Parts: sequence; structure tokens; C-alpha cells
Amino acid sequence: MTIPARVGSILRFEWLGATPTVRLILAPVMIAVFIAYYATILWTLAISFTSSSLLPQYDFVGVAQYTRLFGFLRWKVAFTNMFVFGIAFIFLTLIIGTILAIAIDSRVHAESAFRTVMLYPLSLSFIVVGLVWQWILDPGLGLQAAVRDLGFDSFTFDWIARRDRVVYTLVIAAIWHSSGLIMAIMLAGLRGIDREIWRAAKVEGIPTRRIYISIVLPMLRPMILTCVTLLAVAVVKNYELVVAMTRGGPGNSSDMPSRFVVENLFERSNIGLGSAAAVVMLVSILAALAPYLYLELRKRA
Amino acid sequence: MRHFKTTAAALAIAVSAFAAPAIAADVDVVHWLVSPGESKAIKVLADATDATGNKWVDNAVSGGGAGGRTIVANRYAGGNPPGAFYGQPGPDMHKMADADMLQTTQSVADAEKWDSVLLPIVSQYLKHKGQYSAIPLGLSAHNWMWYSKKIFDEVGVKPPATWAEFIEIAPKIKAAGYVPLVVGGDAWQEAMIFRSVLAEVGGIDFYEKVYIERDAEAAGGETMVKTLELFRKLREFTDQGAGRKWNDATRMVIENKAAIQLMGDWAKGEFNARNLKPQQDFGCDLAPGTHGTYYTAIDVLLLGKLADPARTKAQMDMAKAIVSPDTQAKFGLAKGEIPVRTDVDTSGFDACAQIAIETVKNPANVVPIPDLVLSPDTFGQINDTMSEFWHNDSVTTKEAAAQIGDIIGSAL
Repeated sequence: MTIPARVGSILRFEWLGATPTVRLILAPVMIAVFIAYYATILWTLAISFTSSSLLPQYDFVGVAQYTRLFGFLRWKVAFTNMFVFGIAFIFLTLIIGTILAIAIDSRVHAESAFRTVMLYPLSLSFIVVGLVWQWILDPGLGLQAAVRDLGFDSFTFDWIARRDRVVYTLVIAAIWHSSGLIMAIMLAGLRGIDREIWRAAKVEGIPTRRIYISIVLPMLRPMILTCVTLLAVAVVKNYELVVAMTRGGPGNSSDMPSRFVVENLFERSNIGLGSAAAVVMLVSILAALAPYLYLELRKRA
Repeated sequence: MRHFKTTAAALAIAVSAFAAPAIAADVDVVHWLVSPGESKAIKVLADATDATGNKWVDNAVSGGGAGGRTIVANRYAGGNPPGAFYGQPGPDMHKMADADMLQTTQSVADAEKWDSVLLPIVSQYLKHKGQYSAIPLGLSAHNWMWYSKKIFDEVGVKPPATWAEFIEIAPKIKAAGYVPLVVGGDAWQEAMIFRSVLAEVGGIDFYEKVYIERDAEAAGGETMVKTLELFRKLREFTDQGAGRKWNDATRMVIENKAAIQLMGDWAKGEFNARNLKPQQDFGCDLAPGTHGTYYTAIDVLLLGKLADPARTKAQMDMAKAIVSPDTQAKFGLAKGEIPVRTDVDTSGFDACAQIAIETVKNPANVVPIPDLVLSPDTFGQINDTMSEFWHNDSVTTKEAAAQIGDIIGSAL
């Protein structure tokens, strides 16, 4: 299509739907989506360039809020935590979920019972997950105390009270919560693979492990893309987990950008700073995901 | 003709709908006092308002202060300000008053002579540009020490009046198997201990210099370094409370597992709920280093500016009813605070509240908490720095003091 033809097509809203009736039906939804998502994102971007504190002020102070933001030690910690948590969480959940799916795919007995049990954690809200894991990992109440009671006096697992390890406790709780979902998605993908491919590979004498790594998993790339997208969204949404499990502690060492933004917007009456932090969050997540999405989606065209 | 009856009936109904004049009006109140003890206190205020002929419409919010402030902000943005909302008369109140968002209560203040009847600190902080801008509910202190009488009797030591005394007796308590000082996992709980240490090392003058006068040099200087050193020494007498909430820490004192906890007077509700008597089953006193001083928060209802004169009159009626001696006494008893008036009959208040009432008799003893004088951003940053210092041994006292000095210096 030539450029003028493409622009004309966009302006005629042909991307909304094939026929005018369809476009008419979808138009209100699109307007609502545009206002609710994109206009508000633009408003947040605009506010991040102002000096708003308790109430929105529409003055322009350039990038002062951003300079101020990166001067906070707490923001630097939160920002790093998001990437540490995100990378560990996405990789480990993918691996564990896939292994679970492969295990269930091998026609075990009581397969639906296993599937249900693995999916149970997903039905819990992050608040419950955070609270339960806080109790389990509490040095005085949970795992460490229980093992010590059994006689192993030198067993320590106090990661949740240590500034340098507390992020990994968040990863543990989040993996427990989300592996079931990844398992379900990957299982659906595995079931969709033609049995002929298995037979052909077996005839060739390829070991099972290599079949999975070199043949099956590459065929499941669309599934993996879905999983990564869902997990990345969960990384950004981990506000409730942090608040329920560690409340950003000890000190501010397990703080996350989501918690930083919410605290500055609502408790510290710092709308400008909170908006700047939110914009930085958005840009960094897009920057991290865009290359991957581009590679995956380009191939399918 | 056949439509006559229907038309007449319709007209009669339409007229009767407009016939009843609205004498009384509603005041919708947004607040987050939802725990059992706090709900009783709210009921006292609601009954007082209903007795004036108007109606208290309760809009309790969960999610604490942050949730409540969000609701209030949304109501204002939507053009439907709340009749009243709970808060503190801090810098945010002044910002809102400047933006013409608040209804003043000066008319009630003039009629009821608030200037002569209220405690001086209440009058001082409630006024914006000389006009009373809120309804005072009560005075609530943040420098209380709650302690387990059983542990102190067992170990054979007196509850500490200063942190120096505490450092002497704490090793004995620790050796007996108890936690000498229990802290929760929030920065604001650590901040309470920090402020009482600051008060001991530098006195009220230093506290006022740092928080009220915002003297950056004092805030980053030698006294602050000494404060931080003493603060750090206390760390070994606490335990690894990961993410503990304040009421879990109070529960450890109640169950006689921990010796002392520093918490505001709302902790008394936890003891009351288990029918424990102050000074018999548990001990209360002002925090070490702060004896003789009342570090107070002022609970107020801020009033939204409403267009309907009937609703504004209802707000004024509510103000008069809430600040009456009778309501003040009942509210104070229910919430564990002390009344804002000097002429209330306080004989029914418990032993802990009597300590408070004695202390505030002298206006020089009453000092505002940082929430009343610093913007939430500034004291939030101080809390961040102080919490980082508490948990991170590699931050030196000089670094932390310099940071605090910077924050105070750049306070908006």
C-alpha cells in the first residue's frame, strides 16, 4: 500500500473493523479505551513536567522532577529491584512451569488432580500470598524456627530480614503463585503438537531431552511469548505482594517502583514526582520488552 | 374531562414533593477510623451531630490515611467536596485553604469563644491566616511507652525514664529471655523511637530547631550525630521483626514476650479490647527521654466548601456540637485521646490519660509532631533516611546526619 493510501485507510477507520456496522459498534469502546488509557498516560506525562505536589499545578519545570527522582537512593534501590525481581521471576517461572507441563504431559495418573493442585495458588490474591509467605519465611515464626525445633540448631533462612536477600523472597512467593498458570499454558501448547512429530523423532533415535529442546520448545514460541507478556505484567503489578509481604522492608531494601509511585502520589502529596516515577517505569518496561516483542512478532508476519 | 382526575392527582403529587421544606441537612463525613475502638468514638461524634437535628452520613473508608486522602481528592476533582473529612492541621491543610477548598469555622469559634477555651496549641495550629479552619476532635500523643509489668517485676528493674537507663537494664531483660524493645517493620514505628532519642539527646529545643524552625545546620550537626549513635545502640536490644505490624508488636507486650514498645495512644485500644487495666495489668508512661513533654497530633475534621447554605449551617451545628464539653469527654474516653478544651470534666479518664492531662496543663510542654509542621514529602524522606540508617550498618552517623541536614534544608 502506498503511504497516502495507508493514511486514507486509517482515517476512514478501516482498522476498526471490516464493515461500517462493525466500526460503529466498536467505536464507543475504542473511544473509552483511548480516553481511559492513552489520554491518562499523556496527562501523567504532562504532570511529570510540573511542580505539582498536593494538587495539580500546570506550570512547566522541565525535567526537574526526573533529576530529583534519580537523586533518591530509595528510587535507585526500587528500580534495580524491579529488574532483579523481573528477570529472576520470569526466567524461573518459565522454566518451572515448563518442567511441570512436560511432567504432566507424560500421561501420569490423576492428571487432572495434579493440574488442579498446581493451579490453586493462582486463585489467591497477591495479598494473601504475601502474608502467608511472610509468616513462612519469618525467622522467629516460620521455616527457620520449625527446622531448628527439629534439632538442626544452626539452620538459618532469614532472607526476609536481610537487606541483601529480601528481594529473592519476593521472587519465591511470586514463582509459587504463577507457575501454575505457565504450566497450564505450556501444557495446552504441548497437547497441540502433532503426535506424528514425536513418532518421527523417535524413529530417528533422538533422545527425549533433545526432542524437547530442539524441536518441541521452538514450536511453542507463541506460547512462550504469551507467558512472558503475562509475567511481565505481573512484575509491574507486584505492588500488593511487596506491601503484604515485606512492606518495602527491611528499611527500603525491597521497595518496588509501584510502591514508590503509590506512596508519593497518595501519602506524600507529591503528584509530580510520582508521575515522573510512573513514566520512568513505563519507558523502562517498554524498552526491556520491545526488542523481544519485535523479534517474535516480526517472524510471524 | 376524563383526564381531569389523573391530571389533578399528578399535580397533587408533584406539588407535595416540593412542599416539605428542608430544615435539617446532611453532613457526609469521610474517615478511616474503622477499628472497633475507633468506631465507638465515631459513633459519639455521629450522635452529637444527629442531636442537633442534622444527619451525620458516615463514609468510612478502608485503606487508612492514604485511601481516605485519595477519596477526598477524587471528590474534589469531581466537583462534589465532602461535608467533612478526618485529617491533621498540617501543611496540606494550609495548601487546601489557600486553594479555597476549606470551609472556615470562625463563626462558631467567635460564638463559642474557642480562643479562650481551647488549649493554646490547638488554637495555634487550627488557624490559617487567623481563621479557624477545622473542627478539633482531640489531642493524641505519639510518645507513649507501653510496657509489660510482669517482665519488669520479674527481672527486678524499674521501667526506664531515659534511654541511658534503658541501655543499662536491657541486657538483664535480654538474659531473662525477653525482647527488651519491640519494633514493628514500618519506618514510622522506627521514627517514633528516633524522635524520642532525639528529644533525650538534644532536648525540646533541638527538636523544635530541627522540625519547626527547620535549621539545616542544627539538623546536620553534632547533636544529630550523637542522636544517631544512641539510636544505633538500641538496635541490638530489638529482634528481627520482619514486616511486623504495630499491633503485632503490641501483642508481644501484652503476651509478656517483649518488655517495652513505643507507640501512640491508639495502642491502648489493644489493651482495652482484652480488658487489661492500665497500671495494673500493663504499664504506660511517656517514652524515655520525653518525660514531661507531650508530642501531640491534633485530630481534626476538615470541612469542604459547600454551595448549599443549609449544608453549611449543618457543618457549623456539627462544629458546635463536637467541641462541646460533653462530647469532648465522651470522644476522648472512647478513642483514648484527651479533650481539646480546658474545661472538661476529666475525672472519668483512666490512669494513662491522667498522665497526659497533667502534662498538657502547661502549654510549654506540648510540642507538635512533625506531621503538623513538615510536608509529608519532607518527613517521609527523613523517615527513609532514618530507616536506612537503622537497617544498614554501613551507613555512618556522619553520612546520615548530613543527609538529614540536606532534607531539612531543602524542605518546601
